[in-house]
Amino acid sequence: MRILVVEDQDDLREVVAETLREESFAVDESPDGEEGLYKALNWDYDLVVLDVMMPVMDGWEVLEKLRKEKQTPVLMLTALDQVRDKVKGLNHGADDYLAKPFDLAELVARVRAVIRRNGGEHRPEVSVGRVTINTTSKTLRYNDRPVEVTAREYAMAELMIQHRGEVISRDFLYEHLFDENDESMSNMLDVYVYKLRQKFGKDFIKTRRGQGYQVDSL
Amino acid sequence: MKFFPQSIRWRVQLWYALLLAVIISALLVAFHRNQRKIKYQAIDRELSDPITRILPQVDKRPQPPLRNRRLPRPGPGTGPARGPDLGPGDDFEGPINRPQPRREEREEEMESIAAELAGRDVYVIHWNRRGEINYASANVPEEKRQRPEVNFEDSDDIIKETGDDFREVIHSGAGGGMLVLGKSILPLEEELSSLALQLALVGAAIVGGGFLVGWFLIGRSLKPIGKISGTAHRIASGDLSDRIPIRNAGSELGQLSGVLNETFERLERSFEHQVRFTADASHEMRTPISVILAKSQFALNRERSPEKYQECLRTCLESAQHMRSLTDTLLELSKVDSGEFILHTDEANLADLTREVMRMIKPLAEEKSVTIDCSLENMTLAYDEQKIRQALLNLLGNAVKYNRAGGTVEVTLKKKGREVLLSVADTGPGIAPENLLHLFERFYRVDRARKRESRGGTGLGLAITKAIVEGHGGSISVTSELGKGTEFEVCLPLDSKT
Repeated sequence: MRILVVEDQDDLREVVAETLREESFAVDESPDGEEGLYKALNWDYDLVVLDVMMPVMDGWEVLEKLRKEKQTPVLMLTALDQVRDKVKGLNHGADDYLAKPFDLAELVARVRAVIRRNGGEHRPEVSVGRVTINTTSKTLRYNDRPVEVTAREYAMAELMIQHRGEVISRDFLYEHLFDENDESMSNMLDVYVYKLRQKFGKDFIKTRRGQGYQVDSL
Repeated sequence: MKFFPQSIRWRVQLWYALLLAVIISALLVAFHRNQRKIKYQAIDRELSDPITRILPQVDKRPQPPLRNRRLPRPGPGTGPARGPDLGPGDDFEGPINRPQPRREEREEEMESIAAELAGRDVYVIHWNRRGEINYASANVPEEKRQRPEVNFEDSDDIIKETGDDFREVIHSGAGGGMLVLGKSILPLEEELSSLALQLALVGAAIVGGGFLVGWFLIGRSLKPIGKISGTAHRIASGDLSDRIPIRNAGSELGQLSGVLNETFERLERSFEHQVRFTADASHEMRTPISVILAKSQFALNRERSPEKYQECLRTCLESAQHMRSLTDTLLELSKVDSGEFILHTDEANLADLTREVMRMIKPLAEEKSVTIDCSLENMTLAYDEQKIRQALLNLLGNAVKYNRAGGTVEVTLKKKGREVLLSVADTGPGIAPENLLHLFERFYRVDRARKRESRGGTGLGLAITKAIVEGHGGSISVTSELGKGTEFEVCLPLDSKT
């Protein structure tokens, strides 16, 4: 899952980004609206965390321009918490709204909820075959027994389960699992796929030759 | 319309209708009385005219000259009335000079007169001096056959209304006889009351019509008030952009609407100002709180390296310090607002202080490779050193911060008349005219596009600088040219008393 954080206050942006990374998201950062919009238009993020009061281009403008082209989920962050502003944000196509100052835990929970909702999934726990994922506790179980996974492995499993039934290209995986600062080679993907197959059985991830990977929807 | 005693429309309407009703009824009553008077005069004439013709017929003896005989003055009154004096030249002496007609002729003549009178519903009755009926026309009502008791005093004729139904002229002949001509006034009274009814209807119609016209006129002239109150109502309930539509700007209500619209305009502007201030203030306050909250939660989320803890704590500290300066400045500004802004003034050389501030700014200037030039005149005046230092720091700090790399800042201090002029000019990008207006407003950021230094200014610097300068009885102004630079000029009175 790849997230873009657009926030002009450096300290705040850094801590939000870092927290989300610790929650095994790939996170890109933008210090202003213009750059944020550029990134949001050019990459398919799973979520954009967008501050409202920003230099160059404020959050409303970014949201409006983004919505003309894409339906990327947006979570607005702002110091204006009057009902009017919330309504404005939601009416402009924001998927959720969080007023500053906020608790990091709440931000993370809302980020997860928005991503989950956007994937058409409303439950935090989903089972695919013998594999069960809980997006709240970020745990994976195989045959109802907890399985230890690394953050990257979890992120990959979550992404593939969210898009279960679809054929997922390597590019898509790469874009959603690694942020812009990540120097990982694309063959790292093979390593993660290999490890997940080791832990959840060979059939968990199927290879579609020339197209990518697929997780069965059952 | 509301409950009517409170409604202007109803009150005006009621007074208007009342006045109209009083005037109309006074006119109609006067008209009716006049009609009544005229009719009674006609009856009285009708009754008294035949007397001179009848007397010779009923009095067998020669008539004495009717000297000083007075014509009855007709009138609607009930008591005996006196006729006007006709004067000596108008004596009726005709019958005396004529030869006495014969009795049959007289009776015949009398009958013809009576018949003529009967045709007009007038009855005639004559008593001789003994009180016997000498002649009575056929139409004399039964109750009128009694000889009336009348005291003639000095008048020959008496007009009398007997009972409610008859009007009579009673003439006392010289021989002690009495001639009475009478007529029922019932038809007349009937006619008069039907006239009264008609007049009442006409009056009611006029008052009613007037009421309607008045209702319409008042309604039309009060219509703008309805619009005014409607607009005021919408504004009161939150839609500040609403305005009263003005159709006739010259009228009283049009002028009132104009004044109200101006008021609404100012209200809206000050409200917008307030909203913007609140939004800015809340943003400025919430950002450091958000940082502290997020940073400390992040640090506590799991075990971290000592370096990470240190970094988190440092960020929290910086944010807290930023908040402190923000709250301090806000507090100071609130003191300005409430008039508790107290200056501790001492006589000192302003050039020395300026040089001190320049030294403080120097590291920042060197970092941006900005050079500071100065031309300072020594001068001593009374000022609050701490506050003026703060103001100068703000001005010079801005001049350096918003300068281009390698630019210059020019500080001049000179005397001009009884004033001290201190100017700080930079070679920065300049400020657009539309921003100059708001430059000294709290939290106003000249260029929202400019990237804020992460722990930079509070957005209150120029506001507090202005408050400090004005607190010293001085003024601050700014001139700027895009691409060339900005110059702030502080003007302080030399003999400051505040």
